[in-house]
Amino acid sequence: MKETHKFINFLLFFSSLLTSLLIIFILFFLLSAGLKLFKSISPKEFFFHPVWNPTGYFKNEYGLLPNLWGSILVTFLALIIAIPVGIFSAIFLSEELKKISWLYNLVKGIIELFAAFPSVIIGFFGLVYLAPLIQNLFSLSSGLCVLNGGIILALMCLPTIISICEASISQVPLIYKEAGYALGVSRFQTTLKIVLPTAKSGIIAGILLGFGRAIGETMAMLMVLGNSPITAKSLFSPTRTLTTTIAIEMGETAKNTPHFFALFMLGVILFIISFIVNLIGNYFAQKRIKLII
Amino acid sequence: MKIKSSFYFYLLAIPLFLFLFTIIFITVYLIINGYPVLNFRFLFSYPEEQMTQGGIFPAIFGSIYLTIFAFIFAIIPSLLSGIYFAYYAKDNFLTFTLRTLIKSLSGLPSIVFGLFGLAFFVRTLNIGLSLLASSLTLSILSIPPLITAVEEGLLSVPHTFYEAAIALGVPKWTAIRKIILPESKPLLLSGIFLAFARLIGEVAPILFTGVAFYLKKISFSPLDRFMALPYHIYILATQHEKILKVRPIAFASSLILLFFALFFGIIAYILRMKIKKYY
Repeated sequence: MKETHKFINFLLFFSSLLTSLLIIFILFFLLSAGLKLFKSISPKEFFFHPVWNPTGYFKNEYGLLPNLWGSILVTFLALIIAIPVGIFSAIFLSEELKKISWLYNLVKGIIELFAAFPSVIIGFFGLVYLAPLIQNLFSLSSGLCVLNGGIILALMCLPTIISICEASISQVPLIYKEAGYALGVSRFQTTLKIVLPTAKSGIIAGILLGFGRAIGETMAMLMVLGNSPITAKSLFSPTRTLTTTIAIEMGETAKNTPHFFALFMLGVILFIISFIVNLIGNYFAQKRIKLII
Repeated sequence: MKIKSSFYFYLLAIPLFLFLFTIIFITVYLIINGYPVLNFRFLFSYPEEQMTQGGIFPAIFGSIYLTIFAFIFAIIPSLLSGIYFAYYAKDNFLTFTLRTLIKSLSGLPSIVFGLFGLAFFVRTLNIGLSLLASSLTLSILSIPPLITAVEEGLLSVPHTFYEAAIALGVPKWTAIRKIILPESKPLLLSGIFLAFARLIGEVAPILFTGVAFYLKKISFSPLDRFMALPYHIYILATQHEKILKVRPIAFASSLILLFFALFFGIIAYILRMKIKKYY
């Protein structure tokens, strides 16, 4: 009996250890392929060369910057839209709509279900509906551009931002609010001046985790960004991102070429960005819980 | 004073209403454009005439087969780890580190899993482009949310249940297996269905590990390549030679995929609601 108990203890621990080591395993395999790039080109060229042209006529160029710039541009545009919408929605849901519980559950249900929408479907909507709309509205040659990507991406990271922000806002203790009411401050003012600052950590967590969700999006971006290798200069130019470059070119490139390794290196960059952002995001998410209890 | 506050709150909610409207609009838009093409034959026949005619049967089959395999690979480590974190892990630095690593894994972009699947399963283990390689890749992706689901499920059972069993002299492992685990079923199942909803729509992890553009026959062997519904939609929407001619099929396929995702998502949501009524 004692023996089986020990065995189960070990099995459970071993399983947890293995699953948590997976991420290190993943990084190791990405690096072991990615670092082979630097046998062909210098790290300096990869990190600072402003052109990505892996199938050039004279010279193949593997510059990180155009891909990184595209990712950052689209993600920031998405966040500029999604942050205010997300925070406003979270305030409304937890401070006002909760009073009507069936409607609150319905709205929360719709938002949760939207998080389960496959990204190809949202991308497809961007392609067949939003693209022609943007094209006609701004009289462009194509509606597949940064603006389209930003809007689609904003939609996709909103469920994350809303649910994390709402959880933290609704955890603010009632006595904080009652202190406000006792001073004769209105409910709305109390929310802005007392509830929001108290829930600050959770809101920061929501924004960071939303950012992490957005920068890693692949399929929807593949369908709405137009995938141009040129560095995007405006909201209306097509662009490419770290994720879309990997997705498009991995299928076409020969194995064990510098191009193949360069795509893995882009994967390493993507890994590092999302790892750091998630780490900080989770830190803030935890901090919120500690603060309240 | 009170009315005024509510008014401001509703003013803040205008973007939320726009967001909700967009969600419903996308759904209705897909139904209106996809529904006319749908029929029984569409679901159960092969693509014909370079996908401009016929159905999407192999893609539906591939997606379901893939999801089942990925789930089988993911559930055992998830169950074991979830139980460990809920009932065995001590509150120390080691546990904190393990948790942090698993949380970070769940935040990684899905394309990164695809690259890993290519480098490890397809090339290093030499499984080749196959359903097996793809489902293994997908299983890694679904382990972190499943662990969370198991842990949440177990912790939703009142601790008094556990204490009562221990007080009667039941060994810890038996108490968890026979009492806590069955009681936690609604939340556990909710997490599993949510994982299904997510798995069936994923493309990036299978892109380089085995999904095929077009296959003449379906195969039950996990070592063969396969077609998948979301990839099929991507191909029809962007890569096909006659894009406008296949658009109706793309709409209908999207509607079917959305149906699957929402079906699993709604079951998950209902189960989650159920648990709130219990306790």
